[in-house]
Amino acid sequence: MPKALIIAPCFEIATQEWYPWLVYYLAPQLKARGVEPVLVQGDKATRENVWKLLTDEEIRAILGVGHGNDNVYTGQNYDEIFVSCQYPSETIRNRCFAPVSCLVGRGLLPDMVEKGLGCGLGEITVYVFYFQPGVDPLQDWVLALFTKSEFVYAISLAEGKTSGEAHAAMIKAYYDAADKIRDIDPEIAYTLEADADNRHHFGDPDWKLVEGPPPAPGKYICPWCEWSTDEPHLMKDHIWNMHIWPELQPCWLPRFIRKILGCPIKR
Amino acid sequence: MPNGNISPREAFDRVLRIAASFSNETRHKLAQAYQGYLNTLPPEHREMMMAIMAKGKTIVVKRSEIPRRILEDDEFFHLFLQYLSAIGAKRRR
Repeated sequence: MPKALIIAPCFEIATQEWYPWLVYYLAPQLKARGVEPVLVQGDKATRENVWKLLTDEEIRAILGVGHGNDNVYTGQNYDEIFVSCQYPSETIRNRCFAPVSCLVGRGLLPDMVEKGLGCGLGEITVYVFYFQPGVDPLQDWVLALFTKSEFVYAISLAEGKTSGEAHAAMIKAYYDAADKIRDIDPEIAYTLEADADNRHHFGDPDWKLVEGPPPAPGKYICPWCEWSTDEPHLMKDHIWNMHIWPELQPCWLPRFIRKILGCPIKR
Repeated sequence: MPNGNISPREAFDRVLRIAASFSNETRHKLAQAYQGYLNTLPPEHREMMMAIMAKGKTIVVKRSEIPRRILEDDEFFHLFLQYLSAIGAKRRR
């Protein structure tokens, strides 16, 4: 079973908003598709730990979030995990590197490709997103427009698509998300499109995370999106988080009913 | 004096004046226009946060505070202008 390393720092606002999506959404989605997620969370998201884990040859993709600059990708408390020309090429050779991190497409990704990276994604400019203050990130429908669009790339790879196909699917997801909000809030729609346009593909577009057909679906299949798992509690969480709560989000239910249902209430 | 009517110093002072007035005028117009845009949004959208992951840090600002930040925060103003320019370039294509 191929593995995907998910770097999930959690120490300031951007990483705190994305962290639950990496841990509670992306990781189970990958697992359900036969890719073993290897999480490095919070304080463990450091160069030392990441490099140590990357000695495992079964890890084929490096995903997650972090801060960056043209030539730097950082983890917890800005610990520099990858700096152009300052990492062993074995850590990235024939792998996919696609964490959300601004500007790394300008220098770090081209450098990695030169050193043997299979493929990757990198922003060539800043990355902008929106969220609702005081709302659980997993229940934040506006943040979900960004996170769910972004994760289409990794999920598509896990489903057997090539990196080029997965990148195209991700761009389409960002644009579809933009269409959903264009009439109400064009600024957010344009931002989704700009984020997609600035997230460039690097390396081999034919690179694949999984060879052969995708694994058999799990015992429980979601009636809305065909996501599957063998774990009933994961299915319950999935249906609630992905299909029920987003429908309730326009807040037409009275506050006390939403409270009884366990919906997050804005502070 | 190549121009004949105006000294180099006067000419450069003019450049500086235009640059200064352009900046101030732009900031005020931009702040006003963004406030106008916010007024068209549902109230909950005005309270959303904008997060810009830029050069190793996150700049987070409540949208309702953006007009004030445009006027008072140089770093934010320039970043916001870059961001608008990037999405505006696409819009004009």
